Amino acid sequence: MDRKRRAFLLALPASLALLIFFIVPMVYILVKTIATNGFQDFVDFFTDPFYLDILWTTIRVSLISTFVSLLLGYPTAYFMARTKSRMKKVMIIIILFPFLVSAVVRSYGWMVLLGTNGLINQLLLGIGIISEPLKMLNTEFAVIVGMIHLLIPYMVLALLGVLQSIDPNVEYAAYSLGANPLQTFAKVVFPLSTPGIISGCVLVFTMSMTSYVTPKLLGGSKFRMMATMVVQEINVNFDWGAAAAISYILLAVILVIQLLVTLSTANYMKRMGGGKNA
Amino acid sequence: MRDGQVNLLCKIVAIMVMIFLVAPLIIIIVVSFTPTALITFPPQGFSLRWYVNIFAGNTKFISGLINSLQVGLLATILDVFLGVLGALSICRYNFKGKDILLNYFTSPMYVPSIAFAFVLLQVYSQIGGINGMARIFIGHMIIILPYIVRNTVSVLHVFNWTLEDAATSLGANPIQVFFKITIPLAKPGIVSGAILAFLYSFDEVALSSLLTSPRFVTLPIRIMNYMELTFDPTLAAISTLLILASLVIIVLMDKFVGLDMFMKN
Amino acid sequence: MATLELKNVTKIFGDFTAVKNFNLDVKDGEMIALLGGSGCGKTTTLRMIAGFTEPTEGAIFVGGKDVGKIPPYKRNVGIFFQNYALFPHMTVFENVAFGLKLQKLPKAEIEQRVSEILGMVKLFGLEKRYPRELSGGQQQRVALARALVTRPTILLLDEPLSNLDAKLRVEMQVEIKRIQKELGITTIIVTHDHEEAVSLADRVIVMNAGQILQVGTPYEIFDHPNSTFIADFMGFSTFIQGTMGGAAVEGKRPVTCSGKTIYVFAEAAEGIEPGSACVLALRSEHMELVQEPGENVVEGVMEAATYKGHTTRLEVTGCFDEKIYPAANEYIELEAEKPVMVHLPVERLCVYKNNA
Repeated sequence: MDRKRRAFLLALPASLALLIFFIVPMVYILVKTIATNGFQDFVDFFTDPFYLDILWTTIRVSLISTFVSLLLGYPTAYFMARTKSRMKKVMIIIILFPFLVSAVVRSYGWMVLLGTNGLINQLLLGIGIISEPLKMLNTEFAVIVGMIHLLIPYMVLALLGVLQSIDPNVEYAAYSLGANPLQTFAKVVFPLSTPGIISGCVLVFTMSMTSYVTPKLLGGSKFRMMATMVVQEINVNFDWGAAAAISYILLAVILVIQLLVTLSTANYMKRMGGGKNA
Repeated sequence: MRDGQVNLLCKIVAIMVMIFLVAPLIIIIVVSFTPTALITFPPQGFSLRWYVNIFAGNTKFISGLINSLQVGLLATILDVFLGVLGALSICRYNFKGKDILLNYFTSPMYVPSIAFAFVLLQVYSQIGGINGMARIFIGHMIIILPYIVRNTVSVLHVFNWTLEDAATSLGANPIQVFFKITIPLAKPGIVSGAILAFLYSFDEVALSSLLTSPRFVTLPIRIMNYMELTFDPTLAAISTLLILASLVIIVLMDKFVGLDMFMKN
Repeated sequence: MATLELKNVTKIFGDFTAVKNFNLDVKDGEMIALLGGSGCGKTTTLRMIAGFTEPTEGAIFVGGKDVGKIPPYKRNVGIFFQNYALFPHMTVFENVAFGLKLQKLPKAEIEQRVSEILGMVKLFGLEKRYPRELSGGQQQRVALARALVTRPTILLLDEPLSNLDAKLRVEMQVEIKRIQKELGITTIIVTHDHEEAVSLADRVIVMNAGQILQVGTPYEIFDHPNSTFIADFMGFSTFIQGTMGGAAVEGKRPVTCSGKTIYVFAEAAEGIEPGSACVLALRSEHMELVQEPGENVVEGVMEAATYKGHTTRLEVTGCFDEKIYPAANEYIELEAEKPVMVHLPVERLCVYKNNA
């Protein structure tokens, strides 16, 4: 009894703070939106091609960014997990470094590189490959590049944790049983690393679905994703109902993805050993 | 032989990824010393005029920096208090629903910060009277809490609770046990969580850009506002300073808590 | 230095009774071992003495005073934890000085007492090391020093030798005993290892399912367990079913086992009715291989031989319905079906009523 009371008291401050400043506002505004305007704002969203296009753009950019991050992140993480060289420490610092540098600063770096007067155009013009500057900044391309730059570290860390926990001896065991490196990878390493792939992809996908800075700075004013659209509805269109609809739809998408992944992997993780590899 | 080729391929990809990650940052540092307003590479000379401009010009970066530090530090300190107690309640005691409680404490991670920002904005306009720093502070306090809870839990999860019994048998009362044994041993998790939380708050844009008031603007918002009006190398100069600060933090972290603590996430 | 008394102590967790009506009197300076398998209640008893858990019923007296209302940090009980529980963020000196600093003793006295106790456990020059920089044996000495430096009234040792290799065990066993006698401190050892219990304690208490099964000197417990359960726990290897014979002749009584007659001392068989079922129990090392037939010598054939370094343990069938397991102090090659003769010394035979 006494222990229960102590646990309760310890949990109380954080629980109250979250309840008052987070849960209650989130629920209250949802209820209020529906109370004042019914589901009209939500219906509008799903019937207006303009909004559906924004949703599709957001999903498309997120899928491409996630896929490229995985494609580049997996070999990187595998190399980092297996190498014993001093490069590993340097690589870890490089991977962690962008965590500490603001997304604004990192987007600025790409603006300098990709702009019409940017360094890449200067270089290409200087060599003579192109005769007039390429339009790279303020395109979906720039957003995807910036997004990948932002997301790769998260992907690598998620994969690194799992890959490091795979005993290298299981690979040697596979070799000794006659599997070639490709078979070993496909039948042993890859299946064992799926928890990391799933958690990495979910993390990176949701981050890019909700990203604000990168599309705003690298996509320009005509490029719209869900998060930037919320701000535009409030500051430009003064349509708070639409802003509410977009906000809660984005939230619902994220929660559904999390829920699906949790449900579909729970059983698998249990049998792999209680998420020890996750 | 083919094993070697696989590894070589991984190595090449890894090195390319590293270059991709670092290149924009290095270019920012290099062009920050350019003497011309138009950015060229390599720079036509060397100048510190853009650094001078941060302080002398009409950038308001310094006041933004002070605001960001204020919000970040206050929110982090409060959340260390909330988060460490919360983490202890989950790890120290065995009760049904502790997983649910952990999910509750980390729930702000699953909510898009722009959605939360919109909700807070509406609530503020309804109640009124919440101005200046408080508008941003409340938001930051909520969204950075999960980082402190998670990192602290990751340490307390493997904590040897017998140590508390040992200290008790040697005459330490519960408060002494807490401050002499539990907290020092949980420090790596608390410190790494606090650093991540502070940095998240310091770099936060989505929430701040909606909740900012003219009286209280944080540094990232100042930089973004400046960017829209003037795209000159002052931006490279302030970015370089932020990059260097991050470099210092990473070296300190490696020295005091170890980088492993940051790789669990 | 004080006496310790447990009176009708019972501890119930939910619907599980961990300790049931436990009574114990420990004399000043005595060393007691609580011996039993996991879940027997020994650790719960230790935690109640330390004050980490409260008895559901009953009371604990230290030096004649009820300590029920005294919180654990004021009980002045020294505890040696099984995995040492050294504070990883403190040096050896800080670990040992921890309790003294809490007592707010002057710095000079702390230093003097720490170096005194470190000398007693024979740890020199390691004050500035951290626990992870020490060997297992050194960590154990630090743990012992830390438990003793506050001059506790009672010392509790939780499996003190379990984490050590064979050589260190013997060394520490001697050390612990020496220090305990030197300080004259009332000590309770909790262990599942009968060797640890009999080698350290003045008195051994065998527990099972929260209750005391037998109390006795190490010799009594080791050589004359009072039930087959304890005999099994104490390492007896051979158990033979039989039927108790009639009256004693020259102080011995016959037991018929699988048609053979084995003699046991009448005093060992006290209280067992003639004609009732009984069980004989023996240790491997107490049986001898002999060449000549005689009293209590049985014939059988070798089925297996396991060489263990200083002894060879045999598996012999054909003597009784059960197999017997004599040990020989020499190397014996396995020769399957080889006839052997085994002597079951009458002075070593334990005999119990067969309640099954």
